[in-house]
Amino acid sequence: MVMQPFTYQVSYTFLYMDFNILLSSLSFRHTFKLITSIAQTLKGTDHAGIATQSIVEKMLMKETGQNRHDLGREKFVEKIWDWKEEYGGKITNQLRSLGSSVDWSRERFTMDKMCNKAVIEAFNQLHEKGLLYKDMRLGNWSCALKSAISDIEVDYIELEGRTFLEVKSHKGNPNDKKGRYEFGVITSFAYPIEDSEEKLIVATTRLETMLGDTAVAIHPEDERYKHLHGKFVIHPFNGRRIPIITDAELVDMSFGTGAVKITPAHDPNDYECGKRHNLEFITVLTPDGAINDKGSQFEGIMRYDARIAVEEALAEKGLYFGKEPNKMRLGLCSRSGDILEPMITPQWYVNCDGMAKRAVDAVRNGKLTIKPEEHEKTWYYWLDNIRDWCVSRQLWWGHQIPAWFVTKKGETLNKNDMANNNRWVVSRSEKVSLSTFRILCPYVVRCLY
Amino acid sequence: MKAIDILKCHKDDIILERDEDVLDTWFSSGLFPFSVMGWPDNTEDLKAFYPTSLLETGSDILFFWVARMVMMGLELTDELPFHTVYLHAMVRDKEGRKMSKSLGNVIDPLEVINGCTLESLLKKLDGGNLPAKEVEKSKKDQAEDFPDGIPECGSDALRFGLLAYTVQGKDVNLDIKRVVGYRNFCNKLWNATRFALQFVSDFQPTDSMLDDLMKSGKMAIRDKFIISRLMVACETVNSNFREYKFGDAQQASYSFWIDDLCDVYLELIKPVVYDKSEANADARWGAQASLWVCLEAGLRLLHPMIPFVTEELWQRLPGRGSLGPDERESIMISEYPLCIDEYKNPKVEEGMEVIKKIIKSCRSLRASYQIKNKVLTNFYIKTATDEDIVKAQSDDIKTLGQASTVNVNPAEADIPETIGIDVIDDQTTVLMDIKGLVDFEAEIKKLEKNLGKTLPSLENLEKKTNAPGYEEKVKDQLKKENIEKIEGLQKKVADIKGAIANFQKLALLEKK
Repeated sequence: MVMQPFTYQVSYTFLYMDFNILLSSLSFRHTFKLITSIAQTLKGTDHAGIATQSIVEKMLMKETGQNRHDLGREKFVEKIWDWKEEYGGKITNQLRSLGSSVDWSRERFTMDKMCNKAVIEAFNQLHEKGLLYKDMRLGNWSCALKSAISDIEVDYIELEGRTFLEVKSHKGNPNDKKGRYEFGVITSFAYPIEDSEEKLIVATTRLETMLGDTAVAIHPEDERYKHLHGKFVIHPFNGRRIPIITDAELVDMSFGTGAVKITPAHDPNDYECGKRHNLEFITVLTPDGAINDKGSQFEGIMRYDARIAVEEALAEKGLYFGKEPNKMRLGLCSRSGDILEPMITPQWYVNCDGMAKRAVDAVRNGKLTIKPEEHEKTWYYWLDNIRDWCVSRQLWWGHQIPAWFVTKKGETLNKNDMANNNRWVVSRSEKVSLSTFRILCPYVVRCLY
Repeated sequence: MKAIDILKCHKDDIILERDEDVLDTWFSSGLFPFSVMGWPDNTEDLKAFYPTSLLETGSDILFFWVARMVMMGLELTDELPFHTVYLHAMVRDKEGRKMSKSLGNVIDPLEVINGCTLESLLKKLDGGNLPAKEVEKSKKDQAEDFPDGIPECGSDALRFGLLAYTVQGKDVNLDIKRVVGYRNFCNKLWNATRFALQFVSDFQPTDSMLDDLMKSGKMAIRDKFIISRLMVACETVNSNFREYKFGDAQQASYSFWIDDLCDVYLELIKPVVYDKSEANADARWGAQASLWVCLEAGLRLLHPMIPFVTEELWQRLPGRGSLGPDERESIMISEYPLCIDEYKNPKVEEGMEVIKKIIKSCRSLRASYQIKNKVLTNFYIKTATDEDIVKAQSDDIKTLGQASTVNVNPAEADIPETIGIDVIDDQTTVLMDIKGLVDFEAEIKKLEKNLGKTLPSLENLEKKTNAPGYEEKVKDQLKKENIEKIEGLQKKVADIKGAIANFQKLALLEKK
């Protein structure tokens, strides 16, 4: 007798072995199989890009002292496949021991041939629909992974005030016994005003970003600073002229001195402000979190060591005005635990507005049931506030993006300049064949440099 | 438009450089429901199995995965990839912490299934990817939690235990010790079924056993009762599964096996099955057939939750291999048992409730007079409303109440004076003849000793509460407690005195 005429259930376990998901899903899945007359359960494993790459990288380091760059992309990816074979086997063994009745003949892996084909097709279709585009914008950057991560991969911690934290890939703070770095303080320093003896005091929780400041904002109504409208301050370390701008949206007159330093390339609010005022966007960090060549004498110093060095250098110049405890929120990379940097990088994005609306409607009009129902409100909250999805990752383990940058012989074009976005072509063919290329119509082209 | 056309040059002059980056893992996972069926090709699998029905996953990846699948499914296939999402709770450690590699509190299911020593738990930490400092901390935690390692629990106990925890919406704070507890249920299932199999060792079931049994006219009330309970269990478990109430399904199937089948029915049929006389042949067949049906269907009912033991036991049922063309090779591919409404029998179940109450009363009377286990007693049951039921099942009362005779609504003259009485309610009273069964002198001595201990505590307390200044000095809360204590002690004293008086009276009666 048939109770539920048909159930095809896709089930899923992490390649990264995860006891909880494994166990609970298994029991249920098995149950469902028997209650139905035609039921199938599929075992699928995903390649868990960041997690897997991190595990194999750590293992490599432990075993041979090499990092992935020592090995090279091809050999490193081979190493991950080996690991996957071993670990994948362990999970299969667990599933069998638990009495799972999946259809073993249909076992799938997100990087097998079949799934690979679908990924390339999906990328192409989304691109053809104008939903997939390359853009340069401020996003979450994990220095430990040297990759962008999406908004939902960020874990936040609240700092109640002055807090010392360990930081990866840093030599350690010499001023702290345990080598930890100071967070949760707001530091005041002054910018000298051009052709004047006057100084403008600003405050920041991330002092090192002052190397990339391209404006100081004041409130247009602020009587204290009316005489400064249209004037400039001078950057103490490189002599750059920095405009004093008026911005009623960003500046709160009653907070601090009422003057705000603006780093459009390293802060989300400043990024928006930079777009409003057409400011310069100066990225001062390298992908691994050191100060880059835009950082004058601080070049090569890791970001939190630079924070200390900048403080000392400001003090020497008589521009340092002390620091105070400050309640704040810190974004951590959920994969590596590293403190995230907002960075402007070229990434591929998927516009999710339309699909998110359909997904919300499906639940609202009862076509999609979520049980237990209490999760519905999470669903609505996320999807009603969806932002475009950053789909590219600066990793080696995963589906390489099926897009090619086209140049003529002898041309030197910067592929990271969004003005050249019309040179990106997307293809279905894994083997690059010119005849299959179509032109990429950039959905949004924004040049920030 | 081709790249060549855009650049307006010969293809040999074109340089192509592939983007080095890879896609977010969730990009490919978001395509999963249809990519695994061969999409974009219109394969047989895709036609047959897409869209799917149910997605079952953890609530922590509702957005990462579920939302992405729904969005990509709608965008690329114009269909919802599934119509229902069931989100299970997260399994946490017993302190409620998320299980994570970095905390070192992750437990491999194989370690629970096969058991493992503390040494191997600790050794695994050394082989892991944790920094040395965290390894030490995790080792300490493991040694505290599992000083003797994890005992071998088997998959069945692990599954059944996890299901027991599954109350909708609540996270599972998994205490391995509780899983160890469910190992005992699996053992009981094993032992009880093996024991029950002795009862049906000479029984030949038919191809359509349940229907044949119901039509046979050979069923005693207890047989109708257990079949009805089986039907109700099937109904409940199926409906719980449909509503994703896995914990309730586990509870209902557990309760059928323990409360109905093992504790009641197996006990009731012992004398019926042992009696191989010609006169008892039909009753014996009825009991054997009912038991066989309950074991067979009951195992199928449990099978999804406890796959291994149920298969093993099911294969040992008598009649296997002789049940016609529709007989399945394995319990795994046999149908899930369903409720057949007409085989439910609420009236018989209600009657059994009455009988169970009487049996309980008989047992409590025996206990209160400390009747030895093998000594059978004579019972007299006065019932205002259930005479027919009690008469019809007086043999069951005999079996479980350890009665030599059960006399229902006897004439007052037939009731001896040497009786113990237990009033169940205003309709039913159970009386037990205790003549020659009780050493009254000894019992009275015991009671007097007890009275000797109870009286002084009462007197002390009364003295304290009557002392001058008590009313003013003592807090209200304490006064209230003392009043309650005094009332309790007074009742105890009265009960003991009543019991002594009763024994004295009975002793006198017996002497007559």
